[in-house]
Amino acid sequence: MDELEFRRRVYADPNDMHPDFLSASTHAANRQFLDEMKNFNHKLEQAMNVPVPKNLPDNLMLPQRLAQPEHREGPGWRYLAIAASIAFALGFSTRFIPLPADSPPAIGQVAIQHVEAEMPFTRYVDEQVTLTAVNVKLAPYGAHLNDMQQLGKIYFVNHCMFAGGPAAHLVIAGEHERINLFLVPMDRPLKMESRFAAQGLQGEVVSMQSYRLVVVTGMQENLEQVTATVKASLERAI
Amino acid sequence: MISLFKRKKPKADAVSKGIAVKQKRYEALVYTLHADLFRYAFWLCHNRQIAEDLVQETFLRAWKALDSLKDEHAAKAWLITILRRENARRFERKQFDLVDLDDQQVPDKHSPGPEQDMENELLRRHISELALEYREPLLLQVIGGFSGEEIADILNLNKNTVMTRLFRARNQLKEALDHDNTIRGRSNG
Repeated sequence: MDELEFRRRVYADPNDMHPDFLSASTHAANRQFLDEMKNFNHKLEQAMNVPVPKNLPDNLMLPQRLAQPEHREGPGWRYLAIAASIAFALGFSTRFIPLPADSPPAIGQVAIQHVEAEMPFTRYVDEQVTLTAVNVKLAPYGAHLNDMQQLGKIYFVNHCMFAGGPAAHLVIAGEHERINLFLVPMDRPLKMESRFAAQGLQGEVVSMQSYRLVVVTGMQENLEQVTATVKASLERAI
Repeated sequence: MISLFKRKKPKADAVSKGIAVKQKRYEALVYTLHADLFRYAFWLCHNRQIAEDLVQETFLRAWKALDSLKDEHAAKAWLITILRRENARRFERKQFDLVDLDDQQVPDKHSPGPEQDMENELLRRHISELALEYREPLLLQVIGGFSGEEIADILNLNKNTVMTRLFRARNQLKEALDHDNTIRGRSNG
């Protein structure tokens, strides 16, 4: 290559290693120029070599350490899971703690509330209840009906919730308004009362062998008579 | 019941092992390349604080994209490319500060003497004054140690253009320094 070309190459890269460049650099004039430029390049290197902030590498590492997920988790979550299960079991078991019967509800109040609540339904229901059907529902309470003569028309019979437990609920015809009967198991925690009245309703409670008979009627009804009739119907069956 | 508390290893370990490998790679890149990157950044923006911010940004992006770096030998070029992109973003966000070159007190630890100090200082000024299109190829060659082909790759230019710009850069700087020395030679008598 000619001198001009060589100079251009030197300016472009004094450390050029290509064979043609290296062979050209052996010529005297070229050699001197190359040495000069290499010297100059060394000055460039020095000038460009500004100091680097000492803490820069550490600063660059720090965010990565923070971003790194902890892999030494430990069995922590398992202990928490066990504790939670135990807490749950304990909490759940309180359900079965028999609460001191400081105030079991009054049987009359429960009965009246129940009748009131279901009035819209019981007033018009007519499930054409048969004797068989009745006895199926009465059986769990140890009750039985021989016939429906004395009791008359039964509109509805089924189990219901009565003070926290099941009871038989019958809706029968009365002289005025319909009559609601409840057969409540003996062991139900309830405050006993033989007679009660409220909200335009009246009722009577009779203890039978394995259950309490609760009769609820309207105020116009002859409660005593109704109760006697129902009791007789149920008593005759043994 | 007791076995409930034995730590099940496999899956968690693979993940954390992967992270540990990545961490090691990253660490290596930081310690070997942070200095060159800082210097390159400094010569792009003439400001040490901005340069540091650029390098932080660069390495943050590098960490996120580290899985895409397949060959460690390509790391420097890769990082410089990221850095250049970050620098370009600065201008998009209009974050460039007009830097007074007189403020740039760059301590020189290599100075063999006051004469060289002066020359060094002048040279630094001239480098800063180089047009970016000439400055970058030179920085890549001198600081980065890249070949003409590699520089062409990074700057997305053809090799001939790169060599021409390198020629012009050095030429300008040499002439500028020679001119300074001539003036100083005259004033020094």
